[in-house]
Amino acid sequence: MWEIWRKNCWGFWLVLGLLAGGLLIRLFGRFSETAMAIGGISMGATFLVTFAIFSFAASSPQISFPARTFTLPIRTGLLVNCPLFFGTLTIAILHFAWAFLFLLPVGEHYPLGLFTIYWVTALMTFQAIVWCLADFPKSLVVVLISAMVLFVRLALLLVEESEAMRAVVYLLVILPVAYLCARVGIRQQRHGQWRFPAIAQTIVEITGNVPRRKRPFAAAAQAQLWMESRRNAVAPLISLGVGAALVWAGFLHLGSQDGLGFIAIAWFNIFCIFLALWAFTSSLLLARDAASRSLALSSFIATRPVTSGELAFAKIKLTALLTLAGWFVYFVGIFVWIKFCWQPGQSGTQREGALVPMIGFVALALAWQLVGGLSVWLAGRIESAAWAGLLLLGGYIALGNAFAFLEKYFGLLVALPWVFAVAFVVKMLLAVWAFRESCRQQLLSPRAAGKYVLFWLLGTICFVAIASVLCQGTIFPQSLVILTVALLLPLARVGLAPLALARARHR
Amino acid sequence: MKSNASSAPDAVIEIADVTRRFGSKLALDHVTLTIPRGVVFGLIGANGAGKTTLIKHILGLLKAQSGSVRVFGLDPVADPVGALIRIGYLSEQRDLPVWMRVDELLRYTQAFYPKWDAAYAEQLRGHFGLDPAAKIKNLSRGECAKAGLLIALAHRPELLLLDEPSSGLDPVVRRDILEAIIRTVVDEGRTVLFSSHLLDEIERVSDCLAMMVDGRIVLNGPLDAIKESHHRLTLCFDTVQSQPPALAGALSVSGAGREWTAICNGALIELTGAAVKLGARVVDEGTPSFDDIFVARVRAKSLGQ
Repeated sequence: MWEIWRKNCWGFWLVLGLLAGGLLIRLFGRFSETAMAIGGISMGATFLVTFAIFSFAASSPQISFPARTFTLPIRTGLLVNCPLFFGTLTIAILHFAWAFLFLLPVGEHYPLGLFTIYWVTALMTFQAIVWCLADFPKSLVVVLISAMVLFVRLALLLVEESEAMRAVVYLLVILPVAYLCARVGIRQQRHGQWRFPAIAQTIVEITGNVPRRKRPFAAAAQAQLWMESRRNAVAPLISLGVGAALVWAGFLHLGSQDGLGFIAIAWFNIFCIFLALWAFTSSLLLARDAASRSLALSSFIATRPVTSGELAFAKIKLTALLTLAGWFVYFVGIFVWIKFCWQPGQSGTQREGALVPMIGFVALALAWQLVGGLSVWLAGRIESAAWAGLLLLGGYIALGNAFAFLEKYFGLLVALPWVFAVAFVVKMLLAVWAFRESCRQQLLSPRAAGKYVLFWLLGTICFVAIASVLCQGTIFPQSLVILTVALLLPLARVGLAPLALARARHR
Repeated sequence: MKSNASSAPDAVIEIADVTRRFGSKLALDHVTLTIPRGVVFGLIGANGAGKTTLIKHILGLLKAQSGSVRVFGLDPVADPVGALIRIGYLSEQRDLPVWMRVDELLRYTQAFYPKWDAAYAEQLRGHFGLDPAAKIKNLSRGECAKAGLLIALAHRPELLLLDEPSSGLDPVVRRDILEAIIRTVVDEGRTVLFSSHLLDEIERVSDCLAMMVDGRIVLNGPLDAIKESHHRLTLCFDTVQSQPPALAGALSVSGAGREWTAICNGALIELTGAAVKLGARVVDEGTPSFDDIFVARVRAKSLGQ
């Protein structure tokens, strides 16, 4: 227990801090909408941190039960029971705390006891999965996602009075199974007997042999693109597909007959938030070093005899691919949503009101976070990740407030073209500086820079034409459409990426 | 001791007065070093002495905070392509992409080097016994080092940089492979710079060496000259000495009572004269091993001599 505390004391303090914040909100917030939202986020964060703490995992070389504890002179039972028991106790206490702060006062019939069983089972299942599948990262991700879906479904059953007992029976079956799996798994690992079942081993061998590069590369840029795509682009693409499928499967199951009601709107918001989070994590995944998978550049990549511009452009090309994939998934999502939710008789304003903010949000998320994020991550500073996350959050809040201010005093559609025009000038100035500096430092050839600027120009013209056609007859002025598209397509950010990479390469 | 940076027209590496700090730690302290073409140059020093930092400056992975670094007359930070394309580098970290297979690694690396010699690469792969279908992550530590060495050598670099190449290799493989490759490279008029703290390894293959202690180069020159300039003197006093004798030129003095042994740097006649002045007789004289010289230098530096 001391080890768990010592290793994760920051996490415990964070949980306590968030609980204290929750208490303050409870005392002074009086259950206003904002107070409830902040309280909800804090509660979610504390549960996540608690799960992370009691995964009791060593993170190097991969997440697993720390193998060094296997040499301690104690029985396997004690080794496993300790994090399981203290984890169970902590999650139960945490749940009670939040229940008395928020859940019981707000929900009149909140089933406290049932949800305590739920959280205890969820944590123990999480621990068992993380420990038992430590050596098999791909299986770990699949099983964790499946477990997450199962527990979301169980939570929904628990709040329905008629189904609650069925959910409890499921939980009471899962709980001992998870415990046994954790114990057996760790015992097997301790004795070096933990291996794939024969069928799984065969599948791994088959999949391991399929994607093997046989032909030589025509150029260094092609080799680098191959390496980046093999290493860094596969996970974002798979997560996009799986994540979107899960979100929409849930929607079709629960809210497809809701019209433009609460569930449908909420679900679409979840979809947009999923895409925003995906864009954020994907830019982070793409920026990683393709050899070492850390954010800092490895000497293997840094000593490739190519310019930093060429190294950066391999990542930028994949970013463009991921952005297109993001938009594709988004438009498929819109199509599904419209098909099930838009019904005859709904007004155009109602529809625009539901759609436009979300389109704007996703456009910002995909354009800013994917390419803009790449320019930040490529600098290779791990601490920049936290700062960028905070800045992004602050940026969205500031943007929301600015829009509210403009709407109140000037009218949003009158003021926005002016704001976007200023932003466009800033973007152009930054782009000129970034490309000139990249060329001066020989990170990019003037020809490559010219080619990208031409690409940006043609792309902008095409998108402006498409957007103008789509927005014809709507309330949006032409100037706003043109400026929005010109701002979304990256130019300055692409110029900044080689500079950031060069900074990481020559410290 | 510092070499003359401006006096070598065929110098492959010229480092002039380079200083580097990481926070409060001084990693390189006014380092000046010139490495001529066609030699095997050993860089020795204890862990943390600054060897890897110096090599990273040569590769352009670190930017000199003061002073200058030139490789083939080029600044490796301003022109990384021009410099790196002529360098083969084996990292101490062995940070190869573990997910690749051996043949994929060769094909990937080949794309970056126009002078890649595919036949030579295949010959080396066979010699090292590397399975082309094997994943890097499944290779042993020694095999990983061999894979790294293979891709560092197969484009026949003009400068081979080996950062602690022996770590991960068993003694037999280490001796055979390193000697063969280093000699091959030098026979072809190429240059090798390799760092190590294994002194016997350096002694066996190097023509010249530089010794680093706490970010400074304290010794630099041809191997034979360094050996000739160091002496082990055994001194005998008529009376018991309570303190180690303060012999001019001595790097370290050990012993007790009447008999003391000193590792010294300088001309033998001058050292003998200095001993006589202290009232001692030189009863034995010999050439110290590199181990003795290294330890004496490190201790002398830590004592501020």
